[in-house]
Amino acid sequence: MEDLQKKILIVEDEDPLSSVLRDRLTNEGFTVVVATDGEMGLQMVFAEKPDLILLDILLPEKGGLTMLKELRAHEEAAKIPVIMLTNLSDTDSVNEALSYGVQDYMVKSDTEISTMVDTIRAKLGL
Amino acid sequence: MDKHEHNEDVHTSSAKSLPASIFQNIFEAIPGLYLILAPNKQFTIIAANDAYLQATKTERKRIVGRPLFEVFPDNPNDPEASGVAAIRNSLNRVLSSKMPDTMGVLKYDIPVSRPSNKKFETRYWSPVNSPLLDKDGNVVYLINSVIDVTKFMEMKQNKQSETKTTQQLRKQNQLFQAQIEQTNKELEEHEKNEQELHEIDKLKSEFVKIASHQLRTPLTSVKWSSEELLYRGEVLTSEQRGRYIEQIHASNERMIALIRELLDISKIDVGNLSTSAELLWLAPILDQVLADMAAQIEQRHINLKKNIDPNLPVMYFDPVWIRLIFQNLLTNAVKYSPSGESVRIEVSRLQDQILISVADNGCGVPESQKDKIFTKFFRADNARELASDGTGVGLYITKTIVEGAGGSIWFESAQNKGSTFYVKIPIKYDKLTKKKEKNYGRPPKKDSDS
Repeated sequence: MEDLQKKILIVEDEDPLSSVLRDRLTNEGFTVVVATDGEMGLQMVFAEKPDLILLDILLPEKGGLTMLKELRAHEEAAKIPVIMLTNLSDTDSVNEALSYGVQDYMVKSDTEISTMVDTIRAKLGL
Repeated sequence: MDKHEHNEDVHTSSAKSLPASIFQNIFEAIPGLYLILAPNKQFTIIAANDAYLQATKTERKRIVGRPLFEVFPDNPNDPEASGVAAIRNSLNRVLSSKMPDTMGVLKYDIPVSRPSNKKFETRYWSPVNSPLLDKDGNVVYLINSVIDVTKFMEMKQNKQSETKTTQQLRKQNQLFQAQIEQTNKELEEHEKNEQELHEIDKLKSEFVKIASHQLRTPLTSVKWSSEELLYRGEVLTSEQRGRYIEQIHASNERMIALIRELLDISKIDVGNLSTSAELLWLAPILDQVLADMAAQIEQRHINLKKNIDPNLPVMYFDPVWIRLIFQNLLTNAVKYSPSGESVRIEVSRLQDQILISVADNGCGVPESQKDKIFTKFFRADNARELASDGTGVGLYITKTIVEGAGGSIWFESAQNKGSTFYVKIPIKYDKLTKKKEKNYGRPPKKDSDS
């Protein structure tokens, strides 16, 4: 069972948001790690080898889209499914993210946590 | 001697052979302009030839026997007329030197009919005065011969006026060129303004994007925390429940602050700086701002050093504006300082001004972006990287307030070393405060006691 636990990396600089997500996803049976900026997120991808990434866009140090672009350049890391979880809903941001081949794009303020959990499960084939 | 006399005899004899009236006819018919004058004080006109009469529009019977300058007075309409004096001087020179006297071109207008009419015509003359001597060398007559050079002078003047016209045209041309250059400059300026407007538009949409993002963040926090509390309350630990409620509260506060900031900038944008100024003390207001920022300061482990002149006077200022000045300067200093660094705020008096300085050891302002730092919505590249949540209006608001109050704002900064922002605002104590004191007896006691 321990081996089957999927690991999720949340890259989110807003502590109130990441903490609720961490609580809920942990409660749902996932292993959760949190990075608070893009640079840290990139390092944790390689260190933690998550099964899925929840990625914000407006982040300190390195923005989510830059992080995603660099991630996609790595053979192994490129395969990790990424769900954009951001409050930016402008077409430019959405299109750029989609061009990097993200699995989903969710606007935080429009998304219930339950919906998010369902989406994550679906993407992981659970 | 004999020879000489003989020669003279030849002349005399030949002259004698013609009747005297012939000489008069010859004189009168000579095409040059000649006037014969007596060598007396008045220079009485003895004779004038036909050409002379014609040129001066006179008749022989009207002028012969009359003093020269009575017939030809100066033009009373020309204040610079000096013909009479010039001719008299010349004739006197001839009388004393007994030599011909050639004068320069002389403006000597002629009366149209009679001098009493005061109607004169412009004339230019080139006169030569010469003596007619007798055997003993005495001046018997004075011969005034003149050439009418009026036409020539007029041509010359036309030429001058032509040159003048050319000069005027050239000037006009220069003027036109200057105007064209000015217009071009204005066009460039216009294009530049257009570009700036475009840039502001861009910054504005960026601001809307960030502001809506900033609103959405606390909204999301409220949404998720309340969702968990509502639907999964029984699964949550009491620590989680308490934390979520706290987060809802904090997020709500954050939204209120953001809305206030948006309102501030909209107020400033419509030029509504009408202050509701009142008597205030800076120290308690600063303390209040610092208390509001306590969480932020603590979170970033900022060591805040405060140095307030204990003898600061009572000020007359809008407390909302002064709070904004403190808040914006301190927020920037805290936000852009590395964790654990110190931020120093000093408030002192400089004659009739208050000097506020806020210094940090933060990221500083990049040299290339120093001139834009007070532009509305502008955020320096490094600020953008360090903190994603700034709206780029804080310094713009601060500058608008400070300058609206007759103060000034400036800064010193080195990238990656830190920045110091200075604000100087007038105390405006003397007039306004004293009046108020009179009205209310004493300054109102404010939060300073709390």
